[in-house]
Parts: sequence; structure tokens; C-alpha cells
Amino acid sequence: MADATPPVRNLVWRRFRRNPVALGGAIVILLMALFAALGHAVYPVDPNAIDQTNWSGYALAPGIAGHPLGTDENGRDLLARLIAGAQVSLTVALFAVIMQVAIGTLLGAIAGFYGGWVDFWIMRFTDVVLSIPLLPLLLVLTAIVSATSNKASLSFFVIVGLIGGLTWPAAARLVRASFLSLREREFAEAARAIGAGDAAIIFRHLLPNAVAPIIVQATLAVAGVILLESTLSFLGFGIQPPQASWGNMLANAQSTITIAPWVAIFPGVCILIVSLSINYLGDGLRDAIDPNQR
Amino acid sequence: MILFGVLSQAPGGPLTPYLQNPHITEADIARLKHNLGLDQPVPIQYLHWLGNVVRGDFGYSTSNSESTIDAILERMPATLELMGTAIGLALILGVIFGIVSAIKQYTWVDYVITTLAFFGQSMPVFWFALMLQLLFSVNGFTGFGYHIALPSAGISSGDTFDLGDRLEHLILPASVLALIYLAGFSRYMRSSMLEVIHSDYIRTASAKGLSRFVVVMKHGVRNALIPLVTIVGLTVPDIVGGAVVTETIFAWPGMGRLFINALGQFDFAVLMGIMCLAALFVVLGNLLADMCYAWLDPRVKYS
Repeated sequence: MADATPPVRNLVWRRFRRNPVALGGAIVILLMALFAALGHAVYPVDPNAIDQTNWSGYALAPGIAGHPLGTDENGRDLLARLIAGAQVSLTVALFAVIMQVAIGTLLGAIAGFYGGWVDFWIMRFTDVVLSIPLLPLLLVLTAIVSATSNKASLSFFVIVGLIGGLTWPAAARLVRASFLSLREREFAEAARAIGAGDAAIIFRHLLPNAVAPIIVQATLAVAGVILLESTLSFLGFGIQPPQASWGNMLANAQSTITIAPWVAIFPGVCILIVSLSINYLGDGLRDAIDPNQR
Repeated sequence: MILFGVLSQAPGGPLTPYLQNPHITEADIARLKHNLGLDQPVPIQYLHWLGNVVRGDFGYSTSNSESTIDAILERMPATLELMGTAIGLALILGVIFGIVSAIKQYTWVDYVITTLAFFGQSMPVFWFALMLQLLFSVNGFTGFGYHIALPSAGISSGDTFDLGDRLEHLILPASVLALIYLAGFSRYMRSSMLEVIHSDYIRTASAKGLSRFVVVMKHGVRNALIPLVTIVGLTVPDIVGGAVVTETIFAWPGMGRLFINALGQFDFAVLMGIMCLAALFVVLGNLLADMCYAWLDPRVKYS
């Protein structure tokens, strides 16, 4: 096993490298992550501070009074808010996807490995979760939670938890499908023959072989979660102001779009660029890992 | 399945943040709670509610005491008009785009269509809607010798029915939704069409000397449609809740906006009514998809 793995990885990397669009996507995402991580160090402006000297009730246009991208309708620096929004949107997406993959992988692995009635009930449960329309359900749940506790700081974890806790069925189905075939393979039998326990077989022997499709699925899911979070925030049920997120930055932009279109344009462009890059990256990864699946 | 969907909804019941109105005393609230049955434990409330639903009574809206069914039925036509147009448009274009893109794989046509699909998939709906409003209705679009100014909100300008006016109002929201669905549909159609084109029976049909067009249209498309049907079936429940965002932005008087408004007021009767309807549509969508399978593929038989 040990010396069989590196060549495959090299092959995947070589195929991936030849795909300029996917590579571009990866680079854009890295840049965006840098933007979120180092933005404040390079551009130390408080995203919630109101420009008292220049702001007079209207959004300031890009370039005016030392605001490279202008300000929003409340006189807060747009670039600084974009950086803060990037931090929130990207971390929400990252943690929600980790949670989604963890739940999905665990349930899928158990269902696929044990089969029988365990499989039946887990998969029926998965179907139920999958059959409820996601957005309305999320809206109801976030509304309930935000009504029960009005701590704005809580909203980050709530969003992550709810999105992660409702989007795992896709991952579960995927992992189950590959486990169904993997558990019949010789190396699984060999592991069992040397007396390995169920947990050891699942996590040490089967899971590493099912990792490739999980990575692809997780990558594509990041784009979905970013869109979901921004939609929730846009409707006012996601990340709560004054904490900036790309979604809630757009919430008020609609009313001032005639006089200050830039307030609406920049956050949207950010969401579009990131999710587009992630989709291209995920697609490229899929092609590189499994070239037959086109 | 409906039951399950509903069950997972139920434990939100007792939340009716009744107005921080100083004129309403503790006693009033207690009386209200009692009248609405909110002082009973949640499972009892749920059973009570379920019992009424079975008898066709979805209760009354707590915010304006309109019956839930009336509220939903009143908004339904608007949503159906919007979603029907959008999904229909996306389906027709998606199938055509998918076929063309598969037949002309790796040509510029294919690249244009797949890029479009990627954009559609990555586009935040609400932002796309805002940009269209900015482009076409705020100042009006001037170019190519035309000036277009489309209405950005509502379903019609006046109370009298005017087809042209209705269509004008429909264009922006419907095209926003259509692009989003188009992206998914055309990608699925492309990949399933590619699979079909490389299969043996297509080669046989070509070998018989049939023209390319006949081969693709008669033998290819029918088989390629089968996976797409599943996706479209899954889209059906969106008719209830999927337009939440678009309806909000374009002030469309449909169920999506009803849902958001009800949510803002914690109007549980209405919320539950809409969620039930959504669950019903899930079943309906699956049923529809199953019927389409049988129609597309005569080998599928349900006994």
C-alpha cells in the first residue's frame, strides 16, 4: 500500500495541472483566502466604523475621501467590509462543509459497511432529510433560533450548525455507495482475517480508499454553502449585522441601487468569483481523479 | 413521508412573540394562549393540528386571521405563473443546449454553453436579480438602437388585466429563475447525452444509414431524457418555496413572499400550511417523474 499511493497521487496532480481553468480556480481561491486572512493587516480600517468627517447620509463613491471602493449607505468603508465579509463567508463555508462531510461520511460509512436494517434505516432517514426543501426549512429554523436567543454573536455557529446539519445527505449517499463495493474487496477481507475490529476496518482500511470522491463532493459543496449562507444573510436570517457578510452587505443595497450601485456590485462579484472558481476547481478535480466520469 | 416532513417541523409551535404592546396584559396573553391552544404541551398541539388538517382545516393566520388555505390559494396563481414560465423556459432551452453541447463536444459552442452553465450555477440569485434591475429597469437599457425599460416590481401595473403589461412584469423575475435552472438542466442533459451518443445502439442506428439528425433525435434524445426527468422531478417542490428570494426582490405577490412575511411574524399556521404543500409537491414530483419514466422507456412497468 505504502508505495502504491504516491504514483497515483502524482498522476492526479499531473492531470490536474494540465487543466488551466481548474488551476486558475485554485489560484483565485488561494488569493481570496489571503485576502480574508491578511486583508486587515494590509488595509487596517475598521469595517464597522462610520466615516464621520465625509459621510453625509449617502454612500460615498469609490475613490472618494480615501475609500478605494467607496462606502456603503451608512458610511462604512466598503473594502474593509468586504475583507470582514470574506472572513465570515469563507469560514462559515469551511466549517459547514467539514461538519457536513463528517456527518455524511460517518453515516454513509456505517450504512454501507453494515448493510441490512442499519443501512435501511439510515438511508430512509437520509431520504427524509433530502426530501424537505432546504431553503424554506433553513429559513424557519434560523428564524426560530434567532427569536429564542437574540445574541448576534451566536448566529455564526447557528448558521454553520444548521447548514452542516441539513446538507449531509449527498455525502452520505456517496460514501455509502463506495463502501458497498469496497467492503467486498480482498483487502477488507484480509484486514478482517488478521483480526481487525470494525472501526479499524472502516477508518484505516476502507475510508482512505473512498477519499477521492469525498474530496470532490466537499469542494463543490463549499460553493453551495457560500451561496446558501449569502442567501440567508441577504434575507436577514443569516449572519446578523453589524457583523459584515457578503450576503447581508447586499441586503440594504437594493433600496439605494439607483444612487449607489457599487454597494451592490462589489459583494456580489466576490460571491460570484469565489463560487465560480470553486465549481471549476471541483470539476477539474473530478476529471483528474476519475477521467472516465465525464 | 409527508408525516415525517411535518413532524420535523412541529416542535417550533409555542413561539408566538406576541407584540411587546404595552396595552396587552399578562392576562390577555394567557387568554390568547389558551384560545390558540398554546398552553398545551407540544405533542398535544401537534396531534390537534394534525387532526384538523386531516379534516381539511389548516387553521387561521395569527397575524390577520385569514384562513391559511385562502391565503395560500390567493397567492398560488402568481407563483405558478412565475415558476411555470421559468421552469418551462429552462427545460426547453436546457434540453436544446444540452443536446447541441454534447453533439458539438469540445467546440466553441460547447465551451460557450458550459461556461454559461457554470455561471448560472455559481450566481447568487439575489445578486443577479439586483443586477438585472439595475441594468434594465432603474435607468432602462439603451443600446443597439433600442431603449428598454422593464418594470422591476409587482405582477401588474393596474387592476385591469393587460397581457402585454403582465408579460413585461414577468420578464425579469422569470429570466432570473430560468437561468439558474437552465444551468443545472443543460449540464445534466449534456452529460447524459454524451453517455448515450457513445453507446452501441446509437452506433447501430448510424450504421443502418440513418441521417445524423434522425439518429440523435429519435434514438438519442429519448434515452438521454431519462436522467433529466429525475432532476426535474426534484425541482417540482421548488415551485412552493424555491422562489422565495426572487419573489422577495421583485415584490412578486406569490407564495414565496407569503412565506417570508409569515416568517417575520411567526405566523405558524401559514408556515405549516406552506411546508405541507411543499411536502405534497415532493410526492407529486416523484410521482410525475415515475410516470415520465414509463412514458420515455416502455420497458419500465409498474405493476
